[in-house]
Amino acid sequence: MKATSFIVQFLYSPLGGGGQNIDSYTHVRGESVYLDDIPVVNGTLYAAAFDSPVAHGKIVSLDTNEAIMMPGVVSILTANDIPGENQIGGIIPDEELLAGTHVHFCGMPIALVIAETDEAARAAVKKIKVVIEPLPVITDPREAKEKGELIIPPRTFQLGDTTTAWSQCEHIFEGRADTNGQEHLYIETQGAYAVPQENGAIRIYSSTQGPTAVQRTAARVLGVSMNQIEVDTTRLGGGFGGKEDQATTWGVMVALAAYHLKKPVKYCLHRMEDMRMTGKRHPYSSDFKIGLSNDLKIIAYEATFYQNAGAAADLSPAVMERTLFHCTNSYFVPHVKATAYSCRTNLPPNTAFRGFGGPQGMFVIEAAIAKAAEQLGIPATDIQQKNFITDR
Amino acid sequence: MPICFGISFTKTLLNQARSLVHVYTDGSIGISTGAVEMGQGVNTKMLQVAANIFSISPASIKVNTTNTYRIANTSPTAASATADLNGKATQIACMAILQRLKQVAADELKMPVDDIQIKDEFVYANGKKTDWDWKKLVMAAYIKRISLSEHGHYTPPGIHYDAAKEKGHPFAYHVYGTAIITVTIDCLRGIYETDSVKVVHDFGSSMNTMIDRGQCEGGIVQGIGWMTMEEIVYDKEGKLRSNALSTYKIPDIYSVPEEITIHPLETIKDNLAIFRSKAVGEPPLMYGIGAYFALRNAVKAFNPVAEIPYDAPMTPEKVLMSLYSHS
Repeated sequence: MKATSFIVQFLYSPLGGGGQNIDSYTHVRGESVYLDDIPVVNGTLYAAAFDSPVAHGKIVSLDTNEAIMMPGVVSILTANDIPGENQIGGIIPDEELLAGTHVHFCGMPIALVIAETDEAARAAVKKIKVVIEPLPVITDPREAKEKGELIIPPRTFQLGDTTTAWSQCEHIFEGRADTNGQEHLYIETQGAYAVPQENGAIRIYSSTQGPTAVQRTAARVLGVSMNQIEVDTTRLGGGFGGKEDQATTWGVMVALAAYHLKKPVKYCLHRMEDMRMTGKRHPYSSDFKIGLSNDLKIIAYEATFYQNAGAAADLSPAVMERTLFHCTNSYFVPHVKATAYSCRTNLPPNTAFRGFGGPQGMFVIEAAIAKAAEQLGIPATDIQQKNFITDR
Repeated sequence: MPICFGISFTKTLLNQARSLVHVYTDGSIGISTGAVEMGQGVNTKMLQVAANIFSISPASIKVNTTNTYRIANTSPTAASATADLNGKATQIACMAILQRLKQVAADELKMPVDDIQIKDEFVYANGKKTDWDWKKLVMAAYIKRISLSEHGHYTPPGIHYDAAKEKGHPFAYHVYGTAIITVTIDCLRGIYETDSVKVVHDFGSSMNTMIDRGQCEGGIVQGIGWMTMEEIVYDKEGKLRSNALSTYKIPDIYSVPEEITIHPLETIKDNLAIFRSKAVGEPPLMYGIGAYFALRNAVKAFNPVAEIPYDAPMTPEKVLMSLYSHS
């Protein structure tokens, strides 16, 4: 292994450094095509979602009478208008496209307004009235776990045997470590544009990291076969995981509208709609216990992770799994026991975000090492350096 | 802040990709893959793969949109693995076409195919340049009714995981590195600056140093943002309070580190990355975790008895409270 500067590597790389990004020119000149730059077909309609103002409750009534009379409004779709399954869950089928009888988080879409213009659609959304009988709201993952609100059964990764290992430890420290969520804040917000084709087929332009997920889910919701749905993606103005699973919602919504109205339908979310209605990086609350020998070798490590999954599974089980895979970061620890709970709360379903649960797991062992170092009055690097994984 | 990040989808079945490569009769090339360009430069890397294998100018190659009619059953562009999976599928497709073109050249020149090489848009026979250029070769293949298209399929070998036993070999390889992060706190106001981030990062052998450096820098800043200033607030009723850019602060040009130094670590070991150029999307984000612990150390330097919960992000408010907290 050798460390070289970038300049040296640039000169000696077999591919000559690779050159600049092929999109550089069009990016700088503002000519790169994002979803909102696709020229719209004549007769294109615009959609906007009406979302739940409360985090948990039973829908008592939905009044769209005033909204449908607004100028330019063409149609308002609800769960009743879904020809196939009202289901967009990827890993576990536990998430509706449009709320049927209950809402599970603030920002959960309930109805979709389609109008002749973007402005008309959003003006009509404001005229929709909903009465929701509130149910208890959980926002804290530990509380959710106590109440048995788990997305999947807990999982435990083990190496060695921590129960007997503690007796070999000179120093043992315990604590709690929390990390908050993170908004993806891709510069291009979520959005999609559906254009009907002949014989009932639909082409969806989608700002998605997962074109196949959009295709599969649109087919399921519309009750058509996958070969009827074409998804096309030129590029995204950032994704960071936020458009891996959650771009599907908007792609399927415009497809649903196009299916019913036989017209092209487009929906690009405004920033505040996007922030309110989409999930983020998972907040975690965790407990740790770390045991060290006299010469600062980590003998044993236990961690319990409470993942705040939000109201539906989304990608949470997979994110939780990666937390467990990375719970010892760069260190070799002979005795490890890590357990993770994916906790259902009444927040927008949290989702993939660069690192995918790994960073949350790594933060906890770094906190454990920091705590040990602070208590022992030594720099954390003394412990880190003694415990790195090494080549065998 | 050391990192060790596994590359592959942990759901093993997602580790598959396909690429469709067409060579047109004028010698230009179109590539479609399952990779989605999202600013990370994956299309540039796909183009590099084809340019490298055919040994033709990148100007003759176009990377097309990601489309489910052209490439079916794609895995999402995620898990840092997209350039690897789709790059290898593209490599497989290009190699198949190249082999057919070499055979055409061998037949025309009446040479064994093993003596044929294509280099810088010309056919070389036994290392000697011939008058057969790329376009002439492609046209000759078309006239002979040889397929100029190929659909490549790739799955990385050797990965598996048994969720019942919670044991297996889930990752194709790992990416390593470490960062030293220096911060300065204003002990009156609790505000802070990141003075420098110094990183040694394992790129394997980077196929595009400019793009990979960009991914590193962006990841580091995004990680620092998560650990320091980005604070999501939901109230007890589950309503998002940090619901706009005015209430949710991400790093801007004034809050990025004064200095980011990235030393590439060239690892010689063979790996499953495309051209041994390791995945770079996610791993650098985790260097940002070091910013949290740097801030903590700075507070402790000012106030050794500070009681600071391990609770990120370490916002200026939390720093200020910690600076004057008592145990």
